[in-house]
Amino acid sequence: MSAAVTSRTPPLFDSVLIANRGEIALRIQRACRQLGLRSIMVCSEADREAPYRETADEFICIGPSPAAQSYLNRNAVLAAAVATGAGAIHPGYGFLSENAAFAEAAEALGLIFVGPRASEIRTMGDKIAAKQAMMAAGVPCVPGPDTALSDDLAEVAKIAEEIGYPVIVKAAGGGGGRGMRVVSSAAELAGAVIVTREEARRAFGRPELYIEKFLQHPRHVEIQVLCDNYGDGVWLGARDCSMQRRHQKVVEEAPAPGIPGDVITKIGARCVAACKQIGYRGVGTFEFLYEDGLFYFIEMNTRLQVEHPVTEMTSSIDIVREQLRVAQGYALEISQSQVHCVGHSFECRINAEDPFTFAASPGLISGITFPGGPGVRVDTHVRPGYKVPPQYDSMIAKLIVHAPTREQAIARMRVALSEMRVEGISTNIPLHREIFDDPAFGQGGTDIHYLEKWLAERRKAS
Amino acid sequence: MKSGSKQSRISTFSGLGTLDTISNWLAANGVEAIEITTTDGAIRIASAGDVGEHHVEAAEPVGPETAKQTIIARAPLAGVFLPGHPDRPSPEIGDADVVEIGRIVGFVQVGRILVAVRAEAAGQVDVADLKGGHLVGYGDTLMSNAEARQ
Repeated sequence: MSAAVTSRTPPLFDSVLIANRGEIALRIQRACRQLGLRSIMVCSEADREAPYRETADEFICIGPSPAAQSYLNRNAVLAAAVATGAGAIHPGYGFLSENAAFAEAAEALGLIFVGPRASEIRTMGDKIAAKQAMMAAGVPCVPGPDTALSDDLAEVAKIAEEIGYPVIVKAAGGGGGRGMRVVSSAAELAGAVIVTREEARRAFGRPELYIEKFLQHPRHVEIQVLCDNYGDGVWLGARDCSMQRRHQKVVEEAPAPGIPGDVITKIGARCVAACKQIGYRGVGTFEFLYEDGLFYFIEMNTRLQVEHPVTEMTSSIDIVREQLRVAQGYALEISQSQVHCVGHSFECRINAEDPFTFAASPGLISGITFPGGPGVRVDTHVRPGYKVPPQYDSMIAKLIVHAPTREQAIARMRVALSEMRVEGISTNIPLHREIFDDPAFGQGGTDIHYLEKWLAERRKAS
Repeated sequence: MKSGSKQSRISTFSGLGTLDTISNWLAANGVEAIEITTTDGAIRIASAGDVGEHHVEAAEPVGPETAKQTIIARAPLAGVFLPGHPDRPSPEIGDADVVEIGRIVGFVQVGRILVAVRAEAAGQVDVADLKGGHLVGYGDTLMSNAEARQ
């Protein structure tokens, strides 16, 4: 099935500058080519020989290897877009994908930003504003006020007592696991607030904090949404991304196991309603903590997610293609009743790192064997002879499987992991093999702390 | 005309929209150029002639400091390489010219902005390198030393 769209308006662009690198750059390029769009790929000096240059319509270097001078350099990206005559910019994930000022600057130059409006990115990037917007839209949030904490520590202590310990103090401008502190008793509160506020001021340029109930054994469950410019939107199922290490996802799956369908349907509908209420356009992900049968909103990612393929596999909808079509000005033609998620999908993030010490392992890939067979997909930009540069994220591939049931998908992933070989560098494939042999993971429903604890026990045992 | 600021960073002034706005102001007010200096760099934005063309000269060094001697000039950013200013009939560098470090050898055009390309090494320029009008990327070699090519 495809989320076909109507041609209510003519397409707003016919060329796309892909402001990213690695597997996602290639993923977006493929979607552009399928839509007949000219793909303009940018690179840093470290990526001049990236394999996807061969299939790009245009391939241009925008700066030195450090990301700050190339992929994160707004002016360099915009200059390349103007020079190449691009009609739109697709930011992918990471880098400039959630930078409201970049989206604004692109639109000011007459370019279409493939993503939501700058104002929506800004609102969702501010955790307090996002929480206010979600509460107003009826999306359940973690218990705690939807306002910034005052400087009066006595007042903060009163709020914490009302919520009940443990609580978590968070930076309004934070994210990715940074700028937060768990407080388990009143005695720890003042110190935690002072330190986190200073950390927030230094790391995010703004000292605002907020406080919430700290959930002790939650799962990370998220809802994928897709909205157009005409007030229509759909949700494409749920994902479980609880297998995390240091707030970085390691394995993702769709659907989230063990959560009743009617509960998921209710929360998915709320997410779409919230999107309609704030006038959201494009793809987005509502991230929730799920504990004791209840969902608690934590943040919305206003971009494509790394783990979007598991949703593509279960929904049979090409999310990147639909994202580009919506940006072109087309309306969604699919309705919610036409979205049917079938089977079960897993994604393993294959990183160039030691599987158990997690030390980065950049360098030459002397040989690589990809798995295959029914229901197996590999999203990657690497090939034999590729040099993994040390400057960027260590992910070199995403191994994705799909099967009729979760048990069959696990079996399929085990075989795929046994077939996959990467020579010349270390990867975390051995870690994935052990995860997929773990009985608790096999049962489903492990919480976000499970992998850290599992690793700690493994270290102790060895 | 010079303007100094110890508060702002040079990146405040180097956005494409900002450059375009400033160069429009210069043209509208008949000002030839403005040089902005901050604690972390300097930039010279010039308005050249009556036709509304403007160019920017990066005052900061571009490219690695340890440039190979064979490379005379590289593109400071992605854009279209022009061997001469659009308002002038001839290219900046002629056949087999010998250039000194710092000499303007061409321009990279991005929209209405022209960024001057300066020689980062001295030497005789290979004529084959002088063709313009094509898209170049950051760090692409625009001119190299003729002798080294033999």
